[in-house]
Amino acid sequence: MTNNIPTNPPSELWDNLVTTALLGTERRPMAQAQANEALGTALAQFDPNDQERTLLGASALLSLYQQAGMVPTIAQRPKLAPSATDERPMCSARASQHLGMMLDGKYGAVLGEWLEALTQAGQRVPETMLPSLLDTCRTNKDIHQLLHPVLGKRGHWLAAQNPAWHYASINVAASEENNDQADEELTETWETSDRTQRMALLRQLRQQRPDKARELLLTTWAKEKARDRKDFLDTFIVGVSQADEPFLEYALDDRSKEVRNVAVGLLIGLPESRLVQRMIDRVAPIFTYTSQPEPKLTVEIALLEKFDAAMQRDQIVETPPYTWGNVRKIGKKAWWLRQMLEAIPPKYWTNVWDASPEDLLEAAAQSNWNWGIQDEDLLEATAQIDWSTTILISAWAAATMDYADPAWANTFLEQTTFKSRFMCEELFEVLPPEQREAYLMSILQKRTDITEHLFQQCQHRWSPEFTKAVLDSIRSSIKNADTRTIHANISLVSNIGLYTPPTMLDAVTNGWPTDAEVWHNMEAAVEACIDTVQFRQDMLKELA
Amino acid sequence: MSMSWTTDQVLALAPDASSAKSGKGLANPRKWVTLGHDEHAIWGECQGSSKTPYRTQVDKNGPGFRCSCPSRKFPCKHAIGLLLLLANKPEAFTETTQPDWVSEWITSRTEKAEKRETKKRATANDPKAQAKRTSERRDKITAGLNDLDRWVRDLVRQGLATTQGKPYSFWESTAARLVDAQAPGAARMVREMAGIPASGNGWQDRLLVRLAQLHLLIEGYKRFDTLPPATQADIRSILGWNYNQEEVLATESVRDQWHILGQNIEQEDNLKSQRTWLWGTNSQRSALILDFAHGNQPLDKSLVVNTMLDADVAFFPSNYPLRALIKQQHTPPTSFATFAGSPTTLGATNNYTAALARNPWIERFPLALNKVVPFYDGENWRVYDTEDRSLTLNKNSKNLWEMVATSGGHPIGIFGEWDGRQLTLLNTWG
Repeated sequence: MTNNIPTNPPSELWDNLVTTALLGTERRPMAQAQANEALGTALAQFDPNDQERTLLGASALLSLYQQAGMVPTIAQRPKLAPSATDERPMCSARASQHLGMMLDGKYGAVLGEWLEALTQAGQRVPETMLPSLLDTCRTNKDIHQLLHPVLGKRGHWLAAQNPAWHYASINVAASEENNDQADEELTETWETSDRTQRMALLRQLRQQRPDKARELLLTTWAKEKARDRKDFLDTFIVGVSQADEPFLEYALDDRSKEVRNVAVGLLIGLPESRLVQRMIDRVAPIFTYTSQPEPKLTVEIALLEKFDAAMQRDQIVETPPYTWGNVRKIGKKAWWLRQMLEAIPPKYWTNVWDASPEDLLEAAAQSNWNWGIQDEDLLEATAQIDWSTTILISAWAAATMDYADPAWANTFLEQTTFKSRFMCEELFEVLPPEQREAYLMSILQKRTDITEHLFQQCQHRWSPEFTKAVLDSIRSSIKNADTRTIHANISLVSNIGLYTPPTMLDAVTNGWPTDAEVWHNMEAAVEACIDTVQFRQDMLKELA
Repeated sequence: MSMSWTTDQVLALAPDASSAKSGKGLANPRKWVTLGHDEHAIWGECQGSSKTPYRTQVDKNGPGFRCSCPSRKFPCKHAIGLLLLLANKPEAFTETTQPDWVSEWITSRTEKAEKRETKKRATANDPKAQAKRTSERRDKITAGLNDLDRWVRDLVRQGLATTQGKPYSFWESTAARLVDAQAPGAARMVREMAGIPASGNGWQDRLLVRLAQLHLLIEGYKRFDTLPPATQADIRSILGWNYNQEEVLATESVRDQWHILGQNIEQEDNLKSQRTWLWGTNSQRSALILDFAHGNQPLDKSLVVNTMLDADVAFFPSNYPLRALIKQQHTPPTSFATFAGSPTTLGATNNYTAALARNPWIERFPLALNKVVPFYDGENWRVYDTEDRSLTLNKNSKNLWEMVATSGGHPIGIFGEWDGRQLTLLNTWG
């Protein structure tokens, strides 16, 4: 390549040619193009009398001259620290293929299980798979926490390069050692990162070092915007403890209503909190419980006096909504009572009255409500005999969910009077896996309706006994050509695929009543289920 | 043992999305009664809806497909499933000797291929008839390009500003006349201009460049007979007057260890075109293998990126030969891990300059860079070499983030197609 620079820069010549071409040679005749050296000699060959040919020829010459002479420019390279070396080895090519199949969508539902197994194996995701993994997981928040161990340093480095992946760019595990330098880095990250990154940082810290997360947040709390304060505080749902109580109590006086609401939501759930104690102080005097001759509750609702500032501060809403639950209207005092009851751990009542949840539910049915003065709003509602009982029951049910009390949840699920489908699902959620399985297995044994929606909630690793019970039940209903349960069974079968122990592949594969009348309805779902179990077995074997 | 296909390569063989999907469903050992493979063939019996299982077989040479199922799709879902299964679970293929129904087919295929070869040779063109055809085509092209010359001159005389707002038919009718004149390459150049007047800032520069290229072609063709054969060949190729592949294969070939550096597949209307770039490790030259497929026909998948081929390659005549055909493959392809690209961007663009000096119509040039760091500034993708010189990457390239992931801020090797302004990324080496 020639590096000779003509005195007449080719760019100027070129601009001249373009202008002539644009306007047309008949309007703007060609000026004789001149240049130095070889280019000039070549340009001089054109016949100035043939305007068009000269223009086109010179254009061809110059455009090629420029194209051929293009030199990559020297520019200030962006400052970017390269990624540090990863100690974790990458997973095998086969495991990487499995990941590819999950990211393609076919086995996407078992990605979480694979990520956990990869963490267990102490390996990381191969570099070229990182972009599609980060894309796929972006909207799947449940999986974010599983990502961090397997992204490796390269993955976190990469996530920092693309704003869409900032959710995964912060790695707290890297500074897990509780030393000053690591803490200094955390502080700096907290102060310099964007919102997504700070959210990610808090979420991770709340899992590992919740106190540190609170300390960090406190350093900038006063300067944060209301929306950020609310979202940051939301992350406290993970790892919330009595240690957070002073801060949460302080947040009850926040300027933003949304922040106050989050704070109350977190304090309800901390039985030792001052807020819960205040609720108990307000509500306890209203109730009297007697166990003899039969469990009975007396409710002196008149003891609730005026709505005061302290109640307001505890985020009790003064005016009842127009419709609420099954009740068309609710009186103010009943409304306040319900909100306060919800905030009290159900265990409090069983302790203070030394009664079982069963006794208390029975007592609620037998309760005697003394309204004292007439509450005008109540006129319509009191026509319904059991509505005051409903207040009590639904408040206890809500508290059971807030405090995740399995004893109360089981009691609710066992009795049938008051539960709606919605309540059932929420209460079921409170049960630990073994209790869920036990409850559902008892339903299967009783051969009552398959409570499909409760099976949908069993998203834990199933025990072999439970899997077997579910398989037996489905197979016998297929054999009996039970067309009513086909739909429920199909969704149940796909859950078998996802949650059964992969070691039970044989039990899942064999034993289907393939000659049953309704088999053709089930076949595709069963095939897909076996296929999923097979895939899970393969993918876990590769990481074992 | 020859190369095995990866999942992606198998899925690329599928004629449509539904075949790919059904194929995935069949990639399951439980669907198959028997499964086997050896160095020539892959076979299996698939239990479908009928009583007797379908017999599915794949000839690795070609590749060729056959299945006893009634599907009209080619290859059918059973063949896709069979290949996917081999990619994911080779241990399920327990048979190692071809059953009769496989070996008979493979033998007949080999025989047929040989027969075709002999027939081709027998019907080699009668030189007299060929000379007549050539002369007729020359006349047609001459007339067509004379028309085009007037059209181009009119354009610059009246001014490019007049093209703004011209209907598509203005370009299309000129292009159609060039197709009639048997110069489809020139027709393509005219069609590609149609969008330029409405393409925004700098359109007049871009249009003038394209017109100048046409002018160069017209002028070159005027003195076709006085030009050296290699230049004639470049003019023919830009006109779209292709050489007979038999003629090319008959020329002297280059045997080398060819690295398959990258592949670019483009889809236009109903035509898929595939460009595969090779690099000869001893000859230190590039080769471009083209393949086209209409509609649902699969592209040739025998050239697998990141493998090395011991093969004879015959080049189409040119002042800077790039396009080539694989004449003979001596051994099955092997994998390779490293490649030797240019250590500097300047070295790479110098090669481009040298190539352009010999063939001014080169549109895409293979560029391999050895030690570059990629950066994305939120708008542009660039690579920087050790001298801090940078090249811009085409932001529509595939796998740009994969490239950044591979790099991690450290120097890597990349390969792509350079169009004089930007590089379309085709491959990355960590």
